[in-house]
Amino acid sequence: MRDRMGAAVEAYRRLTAAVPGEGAAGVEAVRRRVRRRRATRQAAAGLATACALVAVGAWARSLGPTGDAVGRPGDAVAPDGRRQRVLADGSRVSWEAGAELTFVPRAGGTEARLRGGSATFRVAAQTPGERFVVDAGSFEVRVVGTLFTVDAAGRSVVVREGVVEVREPGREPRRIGAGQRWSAGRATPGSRSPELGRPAREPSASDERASPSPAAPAPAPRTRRRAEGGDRVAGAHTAGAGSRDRTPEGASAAGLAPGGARPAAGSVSDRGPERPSGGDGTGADGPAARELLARADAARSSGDARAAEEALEELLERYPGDEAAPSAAFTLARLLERTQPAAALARYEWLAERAAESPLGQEARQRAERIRTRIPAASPELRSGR
Amino acid sequence: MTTPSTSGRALATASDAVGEAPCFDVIYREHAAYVRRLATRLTGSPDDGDEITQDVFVAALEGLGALRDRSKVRSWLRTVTVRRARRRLRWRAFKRRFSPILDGDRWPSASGRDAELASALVAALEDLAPEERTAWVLRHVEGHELEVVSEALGRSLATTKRRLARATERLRRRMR
Repeated sequence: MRDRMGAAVEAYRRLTAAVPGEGAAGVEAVRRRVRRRRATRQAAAGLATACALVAVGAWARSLGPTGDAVGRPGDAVAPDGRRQRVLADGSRVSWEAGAELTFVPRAGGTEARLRGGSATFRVAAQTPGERFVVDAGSFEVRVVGTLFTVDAAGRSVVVREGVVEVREPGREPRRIGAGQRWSAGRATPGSRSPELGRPAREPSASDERASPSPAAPAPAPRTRRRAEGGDRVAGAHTAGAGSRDRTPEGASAAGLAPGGARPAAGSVSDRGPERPSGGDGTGADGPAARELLARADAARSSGDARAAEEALEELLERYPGDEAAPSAAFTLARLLERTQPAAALARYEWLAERAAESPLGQEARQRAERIRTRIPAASPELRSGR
Repeated sequence: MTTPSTSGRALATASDAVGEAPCFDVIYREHAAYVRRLATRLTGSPDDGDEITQDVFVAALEGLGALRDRSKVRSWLRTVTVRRARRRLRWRAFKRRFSPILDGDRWPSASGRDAELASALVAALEDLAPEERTAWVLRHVEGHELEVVSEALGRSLATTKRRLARATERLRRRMR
């Protein structure tokens, strides 16, 4: 056996001993490989650098726009000149031409600095521990809910959906719910806000109440004027989050007169700036109720739910007394039911109260009951439309 | 059985900068055949020997410049060759797990009794672990001293002896 292995080793040696070298050709082949390897390394390094630059750029971009009130490529521009941008977290911001809006990187959320003009924010749900803050100079808005407009020059905040918290130096933070308007330092006209998208509603002494506390963001069913002035909330029309306890038609039922009192300085109101309106479907300006209803129907047919919602909200805002209003409210609630159950609930409740005896009112009551069972009692934020 | 290297003489007349063209050419001429033969013996495959030789001299072109003692060029090349061969053997062992059929005839030009014996030896070597195989080939085919083998493997002398003993035992059983 040993001989066989020894012979095998000798044979293996002989077979492999004759392996030739390649001389200059081999050297050149090695050099070519080294050159290729170096080129590959350089390309890989370049690629890695480019990737790193792209990553850094994307990260910087994710921090949001910086100081460019005039916008940048990629911003959507509306026909009226407003620009809109979608931030990295999915929030949508639109601002009027000339607004001085800056997004500042900060730990634990997003900070928007607004130093002039106005901007509207539709804030996406923030991850736990993060917060969306709008610094408007003399006051700061901490987002609890979602859709609101901040006017830095006019020092006012209008909340359309959800809840925000307004902080002024030396004053207690105030929470502004859906359908409410807050203004500081000066009186504000006492009428509807075009941004609110609420049915017309005239202010009166019985239509106002004290400011909601931070612990109770949802306004009371019927508002009362605060005798000593200061922040206040005017009677609200239901439209969305946080307004389900209100009785929107109560104002009309109570015979509230147009015009009405103007909130004092530092006020919270569910009415925005004054705007002419006809509650009977024949508004002094803008489209008629039928036209709005037709517009909503067309939008629904084309699958544009958002446009349909806006048309219906405008109808309810401008013509709450129109005969088409209940139908519009019901349709709007159906549209909102899946995405904004609290807002839908408010619509159904409004309709159930307004048209209690009608089949539509009864259907609205049943649907409201179903939504109430779906929204947990321990979830005030959801109930308030977050 | 270590062949006395002429690299010292060659390098003395060549450029000091090993990575530069004249010196590298000298090194290649001096050692390419040795490296190719060693790699072929370690792997049992002329094709693998060619590829390993290329790899070793690519590494040499980039790394030999840092070698301070010019007389150790051959041992440096040997160590690199052993490492590359071991890596190649491991890779082959890994591939065999999924495809037990070896690729092609390893000795296409060989014939007769030598080829038969060499093939039997290579087949037996395939059953060894890569480190046992490299140790055994360095010691019994290349004829290196134990110290040289342990240095090339990067193992202690005792470990090298154990590897060799185990490899020899297994080969005996296989070649019986």
